[in-house]
Amino acid sequence: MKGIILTEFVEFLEQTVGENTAQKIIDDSQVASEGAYSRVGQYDYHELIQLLTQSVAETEQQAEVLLQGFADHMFKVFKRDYQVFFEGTDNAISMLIQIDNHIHVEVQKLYPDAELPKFDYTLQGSQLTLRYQSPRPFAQVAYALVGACLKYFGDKEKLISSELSQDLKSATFVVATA
Amino acid sequence: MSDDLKQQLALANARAERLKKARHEAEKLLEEKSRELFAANQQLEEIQQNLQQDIQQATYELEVTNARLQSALDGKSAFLGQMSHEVRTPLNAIIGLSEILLGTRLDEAQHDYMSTINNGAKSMIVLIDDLLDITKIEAGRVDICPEPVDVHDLLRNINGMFELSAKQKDLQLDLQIDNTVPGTISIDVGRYTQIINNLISNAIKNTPQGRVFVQVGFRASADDDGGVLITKVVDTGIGIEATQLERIFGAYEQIGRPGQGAGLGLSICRQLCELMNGEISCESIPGRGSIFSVKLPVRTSTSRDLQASTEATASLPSLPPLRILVAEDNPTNQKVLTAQLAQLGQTPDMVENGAEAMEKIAQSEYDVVILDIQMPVMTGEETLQAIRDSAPSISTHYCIALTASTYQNQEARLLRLGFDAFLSKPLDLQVLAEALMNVPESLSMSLAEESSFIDWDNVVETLEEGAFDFTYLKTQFGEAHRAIFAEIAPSFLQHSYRELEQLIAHAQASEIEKISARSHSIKGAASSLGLNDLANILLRIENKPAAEDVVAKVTEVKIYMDQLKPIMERELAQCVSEG
Repeated sequence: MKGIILTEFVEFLEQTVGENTAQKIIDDSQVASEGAYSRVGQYDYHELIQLLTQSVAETEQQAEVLLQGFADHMFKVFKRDYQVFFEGTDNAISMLIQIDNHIHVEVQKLYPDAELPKFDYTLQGSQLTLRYQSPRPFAQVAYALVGACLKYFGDKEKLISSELSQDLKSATFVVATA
Repeated sequence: MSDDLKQQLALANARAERLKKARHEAEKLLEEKSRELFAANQQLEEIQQNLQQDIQQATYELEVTNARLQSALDGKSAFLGQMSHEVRTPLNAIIGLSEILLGTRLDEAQHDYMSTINNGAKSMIVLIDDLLDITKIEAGRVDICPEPVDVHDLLRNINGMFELSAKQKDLQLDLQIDNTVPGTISIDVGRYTQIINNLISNAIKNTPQGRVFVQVGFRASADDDGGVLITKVVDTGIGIEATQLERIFGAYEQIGRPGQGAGLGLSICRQLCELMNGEISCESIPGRGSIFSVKLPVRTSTSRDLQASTEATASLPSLPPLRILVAEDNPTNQKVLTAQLAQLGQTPDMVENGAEAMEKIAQSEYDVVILDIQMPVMTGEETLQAIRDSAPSISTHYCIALTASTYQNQEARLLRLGFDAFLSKPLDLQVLAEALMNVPESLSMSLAEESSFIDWDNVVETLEEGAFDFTYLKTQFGEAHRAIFAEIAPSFLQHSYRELEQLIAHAQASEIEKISARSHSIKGAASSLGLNDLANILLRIENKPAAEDVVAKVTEVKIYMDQLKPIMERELAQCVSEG
């Protein structure tokens, strides 16, 4: 997993629960890297799961709530550091349909070794069906990011339905104009 | 320190430690990336170098192949040039000697056979020329040399050459020159003539009945010293199928009936047009006819470079006896040239090479020296060099180059070497006669002779007698001579007197070119009325427009014409009363 997800998760923790609590979560999660992440580094994705599990335990918040908070944080980071993701988009659907063709292309330029999930879609009228597929069980992260995207664009579109597979390696989201 | 504080301190230390570690991790990664980048860069440079080497190698190989092909092409061209030379020599004999035989007493069948032999040989020359042209064009060795020319005269001459063949097929041959076409333009005369000749010849060949029509126009360009000369050759012939139209300008294509040549003509026309930055196109309806259009960019020329040669007529000019030396090694060619010169009333001294020619020149003076280029012992070029390097009594000889090789711009090369004129074999009698007409010494001699016949006092006296001399018109027109006189005299009185005014002005202003042109023009009109005395004075003015006494001569013309005018008017009045 690319370091940026982990550095930003730690950043998110420090902002929401404080530096010390964040450090405690890291220490208690016993991640192999000891939480010394760099954006450009490559890490075992299990460390994210370890950190998340430990965060839930430490903060007593639901995993979904934490993840949604993290996804909103990520969107701000994207906006701040990767303006290029937003080029030519003025609504959530136009952003979601170009994940594979534009955003992931840009990611590959910076990080040729990044292992990216796959997003394909069908568009019927104003209704978007987005399918997520990954070798890693992060369907919930994807769900949270879709939600963050809708929120970022002012909730003009709504998530009508979502279906996450048992192993969390795939999911289907249906988004339509509100 | 409380446990809580201790714990917080430990967490802060752990965080600081974590951040430090993360920084080291990032720095290590950065260094790794830098190394990767460096390696990638090295690899790219290596690829680039290999690529450059590959390109150099490929370029070198192409150059070698190109040089080899060029050399093969040069070899082929040289071979063709040599072959054409070899073929021309016997053809020269066939054409020259058959022409002479045609001038002798032959019965009808013999005349017919001889004429066929002559035409056949001439066709072969055309074919060889076409082959050489294609080879030259394909080898990029054709230079386009524009020169100022009276395009009206040129077109009339080109058209005139086909009058006979058109008449033989009962075809109407017309030339229409739009009045927008400038008098003088700059164009490669030889190449333009070749294109138009080819088109008219094709048109006549492919038209069983009806008309061949040459239409010439001009479209001036925005800058005022140029434009496009548009020449259309229109025929009412067999026409060309649409499917063939695309192919007719390709080399080795032939339309129409078989056996009408190698089909190189239109390909040559197209390539020549392209070389002259112009274009050629064809529209056609099968069974109705064809229109070939040639568009060539030309410059208009202000200088009135009137060429005496455009006055050429079919009849042979009479030449004064000339002292001619010919150096020619080939016995057949010697025989042909001797016979041709005899036709022109000339008896040349004949030698076999340049060395013998030099001996002859040292012994006696010649009006003209004709040198074959390829000779044993001493070639034509070497002989010319020897002549030009000699003392003035020898070096000033008028020298004409004679060669069967037209390959690679021989004419320009030989003229640069110092020859005064150039003749190519097979030698046309008319061309030979014109070349000899241009010999300066002979011209002045004949002028001196002609002028010595004029008795000025007597001229005036004759005129004072008050009768117009109808001798010339009578021989030309017989009984109709007075009617003809009534037709042309008014225009002579009107135009020539106007031109005389201009001639006087030019003479007073010493405008040499204009003096020549104007006197040439009046001379033509005078000759057509048989006013030989007047024509002779004008000829002297035309040939020596810079002479000191030119104003005096022009004044003589004026006096003569002033005396002539009432006589002609009286004759005219009488003609009208008779009519």
